[in-house]
Amino acid sequence: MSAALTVALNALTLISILALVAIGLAVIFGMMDVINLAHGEFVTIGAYTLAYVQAFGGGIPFSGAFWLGLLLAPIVGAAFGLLIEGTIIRRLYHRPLDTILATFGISLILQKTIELTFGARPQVVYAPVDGMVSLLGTSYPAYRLFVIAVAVLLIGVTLLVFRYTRFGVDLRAVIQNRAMAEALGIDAKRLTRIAFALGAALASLAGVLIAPLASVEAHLGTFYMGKAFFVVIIGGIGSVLGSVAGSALVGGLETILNYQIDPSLASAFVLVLAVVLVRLRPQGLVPGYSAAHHLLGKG
Amino acid sequence: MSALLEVSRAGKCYGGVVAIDDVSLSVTERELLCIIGPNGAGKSSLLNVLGGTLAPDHGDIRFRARPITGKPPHAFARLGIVRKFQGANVFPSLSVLDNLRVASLGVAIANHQPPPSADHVIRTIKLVPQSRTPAAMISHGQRQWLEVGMTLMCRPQILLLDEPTAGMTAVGAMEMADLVLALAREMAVIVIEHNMAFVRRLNCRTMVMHQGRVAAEGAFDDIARDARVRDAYLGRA
Amino acid sequence: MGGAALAACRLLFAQGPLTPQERLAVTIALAALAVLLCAPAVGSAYTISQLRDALLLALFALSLDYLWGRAHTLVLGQALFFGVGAYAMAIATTKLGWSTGAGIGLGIAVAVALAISSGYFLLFAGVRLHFFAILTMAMSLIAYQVIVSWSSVTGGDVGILGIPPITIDLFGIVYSTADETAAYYGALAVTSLMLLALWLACRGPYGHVLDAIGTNEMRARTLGYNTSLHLLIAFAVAAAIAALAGALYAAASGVVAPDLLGVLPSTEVMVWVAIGGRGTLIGPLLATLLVTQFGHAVSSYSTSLWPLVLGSLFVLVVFAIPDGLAALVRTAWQRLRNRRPQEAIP
Repeated sequence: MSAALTVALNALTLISILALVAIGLAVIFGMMDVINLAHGEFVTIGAYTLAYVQAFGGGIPFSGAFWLGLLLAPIVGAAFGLLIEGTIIRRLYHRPLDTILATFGISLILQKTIELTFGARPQVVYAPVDGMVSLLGTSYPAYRLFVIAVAVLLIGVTLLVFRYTRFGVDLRAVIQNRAMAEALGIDAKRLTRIAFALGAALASLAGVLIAPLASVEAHLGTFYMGKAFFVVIIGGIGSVLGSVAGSALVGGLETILNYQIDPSLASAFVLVLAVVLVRLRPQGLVPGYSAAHHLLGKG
Repeated sequence: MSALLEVSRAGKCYGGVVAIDDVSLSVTERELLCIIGPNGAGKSSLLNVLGGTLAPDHGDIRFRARPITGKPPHAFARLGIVRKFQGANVFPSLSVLDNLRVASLGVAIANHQPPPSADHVIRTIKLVPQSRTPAAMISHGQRQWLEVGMTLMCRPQILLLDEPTAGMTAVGAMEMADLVLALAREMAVIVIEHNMAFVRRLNCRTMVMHQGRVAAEGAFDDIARDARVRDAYLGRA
Repeated sequence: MGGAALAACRLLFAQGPLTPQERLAVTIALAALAVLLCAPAVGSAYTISQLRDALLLALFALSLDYLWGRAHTLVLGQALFFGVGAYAMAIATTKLGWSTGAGIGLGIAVAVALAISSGYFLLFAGVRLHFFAILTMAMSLIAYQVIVSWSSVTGGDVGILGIPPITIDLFGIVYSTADETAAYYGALAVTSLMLLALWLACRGPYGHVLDAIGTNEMRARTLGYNTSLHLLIAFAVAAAIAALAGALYAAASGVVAPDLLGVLPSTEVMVWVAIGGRGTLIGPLLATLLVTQFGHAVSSYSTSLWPLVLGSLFVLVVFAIPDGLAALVRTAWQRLRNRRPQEAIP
C-alpha cells in the first residue's frame, strides 16, 4: 500500500511537470500551426535562473532565494519567449517546416550559450524545504509534495483561464478558426504573442520546480521537450485539458514502467503507444479542434 | 438501362449540421446530370461522397452494382470515377504538360494500361502555347480547363465536375458547356454549377438540392418552371 | 505481373533530353568529380581520410535530400537509420562473425524494417509534415537511449571498436578499404553512383509524381495515386540509403559510438541539405563536403563552438537563403546567360 502510494506520488510529480511544459507547446501549436523546438530551453532557462539567483549570495542560500527564483524565472522565460516569437516565429508564419529548422537552430544556440556561460558542470540548486513528510503510513520527500501542489495549482488556474475568461475564449477561437476569429475583431497576433510568453513562463516555472530534483545542465530541457511532444500528440493539439490528460498517460505509464523495465525501454514503449494512438485516435484524447489537425486527418 | 453509379439514402452530418440527408441518385452510361441549388445545399458534399473523398455516415454507393462505399479516393479514380474540384485544383509547381502527364500515370499504372497521350487533351483544353508554363503562372480560367484536362487523362467513365465555369468569361463558360456536351457522348458526367446560362445550354436532367435534400428533379425546362426551385434560390422553404 | 512492374518503371523513370538547368548541374557535378578524382594526388593522407568520411556523409545527405527535397517529407531523426546501419555493421562483424557484405545487408534490412513498420502506422494514418518530422525525431532520441543502455550488445557509451575493413575478392582481384586510397575511391564511387541513380530516377515523371504528392496530396489521390504508399516507399528507400552510408562509414572508421545517431548528426544532415538546396541532390552533396571541412576548421579551434555555429547556420539558411546555394548559383548563371547576347550587340 505504502509502496503504491510512493509510485503514485512519483508519477504525479512527473505528470504535473510534464503538463506545465506541454500546455504552452500545445496552445502555440494549436494557434499558429507551428512547433517551437526551442520550447525545452525555457525549462532550462527557468532552472538556470534559480541556480543563478541562489548562487548570488556566494553559494550560501539566503532564505527566500528560491522564492525569488520562482518569481523571476517566469519573467525571464517570458522575456525570452517574446524575443523568439518576435524575431523568428512571427516572421515564419505559414512556413511551418522552416519554423522547425529555425527553432531547432535557436535551441542549439541557447544550449551552447548556456554551456559556454555557466560551464558544462551541473549547477548547484537547493530546495526550499527539506526532509520527509509522513503521509498515510509512508514517508515522502516534502519538496516533491510541494512541487505537486504548486504545479496542480498552476494547471488549475490555467484551465480556469482557458475556459472562463474572455482571454481564454478568444484563444480557443483563434485555435479553432484563426481567420474567422480575426474577422470578428480578435487581435490574433497580439493574442499569440501573449500566449507564447505565458507558455514560456509556465515552462520556466516547471524548470524551477524540477531543478532541485534533476541535474541542472544545458540540455535539461531536451528531456522534457521530447516527452512533451508525445503529450501533445496523444493529448490533442490546442487543448489544455488534453495536455493534462496526455501528461497523465505518458508520465503515469513511464513512472510505472520504470519500476519494471529499463528506462530507455520504457520510453520506447511509450513511443510505440503514441504511434499506435495516432493511428487510432488522430485528434488526440481531448481534441482542441485545431486547424493543425488536417495534418492528422484520415488516411 | 442499368445504373452505372447508384447512391442510395446517403447521409452525412458535421457535428449537428446535416450536410446531406438521405440523398439517392443514379446515373446510367453516357448520361449527363446537372446538380443545382443554393450555397450550403449540400452539392459539394454529395460530390465528395460520389468521388470517394468523403465517407457517408450511412447509405450505400454502388458502381456497376458493386458496393464501393468506404473505399479510398484512389480506388474510386482507378474504377473510373474521376472528379474535378471546386476552384482549379492543380499542381502549381509543375508545367501544364507535366500536370497532364502526372494525371495520366496514376490510374494507368495501377490498372496496367498504357497511359493516354496528352497531345489530344492539351488541344481540347486549348493550352498548347502554355504547355511548358508552370500551372501557377496561368490564369484562373485556364487552370479550370487544365483541371478538366487532368481528369480526362484518367480515362473516366464517370466525370464529376464541381463548378467548372467559376472564374470564366461568359464565352469561356459556353465553350466549357460545349465540351461537357461532347464528353457526355463518351462518358457519364455529373456537373455542379451556379451559372444558369451554362445549365440551360446543357439542357439535361437536372437535380435541385436544398438543405441537404433533393428538392426537385427532372428535365431542365420543367425544373426552370418549378416554383419550388425559385423558392429554394430565394431562400424561402 | 513482372511485366506490369517493368512497364510501370519504364513509364515512371522515362528519360527525356537535358534541360538547360540540368546541363548546369551536370557540368558542376562533372567538375566536382574531376577535382575529387585528383584529390589523392595532392592531399595528405589525413585530408583524404577526412574527405572519404565526408563523401560517405554526403551519401547520407543524399538520402535525406531524396526524402525531404523530392518527396517533401522532412525527417528530423534521419541519423537513426545512419546509426542503425553503422551499428548493424559493427555487431554483425565483431559479435556475430559475419562478413562485411552481410553486415551491410543486415543494416539495410533493419533500417527498412524500422521505416516500414513505423511508416505504416504514421503515413497511412495521414501523419504528415511537422508531425511526421517530430515523431521521427522522437524515434531517434529513443533509439539513442536504447543503444546507450543496451551495453551488452552495443557497447553502451563506449560503442564498438575493431570493425574490419571491407574486402572484396573478385576472381583474384582483391579490393580492400584497408588501403586509404582504395577506401577513398570506393566512397567516391558509391556516392557518385547513388547521385546518378537518384538523379535519373527523379528527373522525369517519378519526380513529378513525388512533387504532385508533396504539394497537393488530395488531388494526387483523386487521380488514382496511393499517396501513402508512395511516401512509405520513399521513406524506406531513404532509410536504406542512410543505412548503407552508416555501414560504410563504420567500416571505414573502424568504430561506432552512440553519437552517430544523436541529435547532432540528424541536425547536421539537415543543414547540409538546406544549404546545398533541397531537391537538387548535387547541391546537398557538395554542401556536405564544404560544411564538414568548415566544421573541422571550427572544431580544431574549439570543439564546443561548432554546435553554436551550426545553430546559427540553421537560422541563417532559413532567413537568408531558404532555397540554398543551388538557387544562388542558378540565378547567377541565368543572369550571366541573359547578359551575354546583349554584350554581343555593339
